Amino acid sequence: MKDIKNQIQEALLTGVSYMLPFVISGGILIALGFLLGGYNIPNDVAQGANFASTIFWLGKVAFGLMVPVLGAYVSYSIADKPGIAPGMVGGFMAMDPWGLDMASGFLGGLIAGIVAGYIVNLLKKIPVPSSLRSLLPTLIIPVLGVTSVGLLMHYVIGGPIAAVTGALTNFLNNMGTGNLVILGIIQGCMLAFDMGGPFNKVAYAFALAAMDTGNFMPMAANFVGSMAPPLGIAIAILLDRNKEKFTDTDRNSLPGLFAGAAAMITEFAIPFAAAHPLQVIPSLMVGSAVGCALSYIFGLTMQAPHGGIFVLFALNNALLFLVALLVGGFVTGAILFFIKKPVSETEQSLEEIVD
Amino acid sequence: MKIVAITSCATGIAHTYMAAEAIKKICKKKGFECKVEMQGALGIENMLKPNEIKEADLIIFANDVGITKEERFKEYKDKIIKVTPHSVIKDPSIIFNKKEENK
Repeated sequence: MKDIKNQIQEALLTGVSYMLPFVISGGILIALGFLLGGYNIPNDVAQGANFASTIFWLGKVAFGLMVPVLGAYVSYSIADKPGIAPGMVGGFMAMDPWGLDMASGFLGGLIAGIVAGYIVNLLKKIPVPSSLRSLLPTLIIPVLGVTSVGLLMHYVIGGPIAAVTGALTNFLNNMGTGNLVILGIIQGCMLAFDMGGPFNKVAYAFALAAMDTGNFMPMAANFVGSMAPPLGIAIAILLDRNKEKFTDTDRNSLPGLFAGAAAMITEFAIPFAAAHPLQVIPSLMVGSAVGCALSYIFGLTMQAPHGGIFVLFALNNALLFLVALLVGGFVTGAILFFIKKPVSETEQSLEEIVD
Repeated sequence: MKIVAITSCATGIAHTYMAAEAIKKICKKKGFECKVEMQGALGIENMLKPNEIKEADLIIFANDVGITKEERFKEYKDKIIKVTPHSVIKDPSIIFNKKEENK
């Protein structure tokens, strides 16, 4: 049972990993299209009739591949190469290509990928005489795999998943401020807990899934929660004026930390968390949680899926965003500064040896 | 002792490389020969050759996402040790402790 859980977790992360370049290029192009052509560009201008519209719809193409690619690589992780075709077709089915009110988005693509992966693994075990062995990967698995996943999506699981997705979307869209704050706290804690690791990616996947349904608030919170950790550590180092709590190596990483905060790469915080997990990780979690909660309180929305301060134009209110980010960063910085123990002599001397 | 390793993570820009560094560092400290293949956002870097995989005493998978071209390791399943990149970065010596557990 634990094996299956690990396999599905690995599949989810693999799928998200391959999906990200589509989402990021697509999301940023869509936001750029809005910036160039105004917020009515999808309705005012015919597709591709001017440059802004071309950029917008190009972004839509890339972003639209998100769910099929997710399905394809979730399935690939479970069943290897033969999993790709059934997973991708299943993922495409999750986007409701025939307009039957069965769109199940991210969740549908994920489930289609998992189902496709296990079906293909079963199909691999079909006994075929060795003289016909090459029929298995060239004919039998693709045809039976695509057919069974497609039929399952249409007749069996597609409808229920779409209903669940719809219910979750409604729930999210109608949440009161109190609940949104709780959501922000959970999101912030997950984003900061492992700084770009599996927890962080699950939280990010949630924000992407919400974005897919047209709710851009979780993505704004995601930005704050992902950018606050490196910023917070940088602030803690700056607060340490007597140079008691951080080593010279730490101070040398200040430019990297600011770059990480600006570009939304939480990973820059990892070296600090790895060295002093018990002091650093809780500080990061509190700061990001506060930042995310503020983002919901301010009602911030973000239409680009990644890019840090370079996509501020895709926010509804860049100023309040910076407020939420700075508050989150300062909370982390202050907590870390107060709870961090002074650098011990051994640490300092160890560092000299390494240098 | 010869060690080969593969590292990978979801975004493929940080954990992948930090885990690789951590593994190289501890091998150097212990005087082991080692080569690390990184499967990051740019695809496979520093790819392991078949003879390197064959000659290795220990194969380490430090991966969050599925290993690309895993079929290369099919015949050497008993040499493989699975960890997560996060845990290797935190404490690289687990790759040797795990070996003890497996015995």
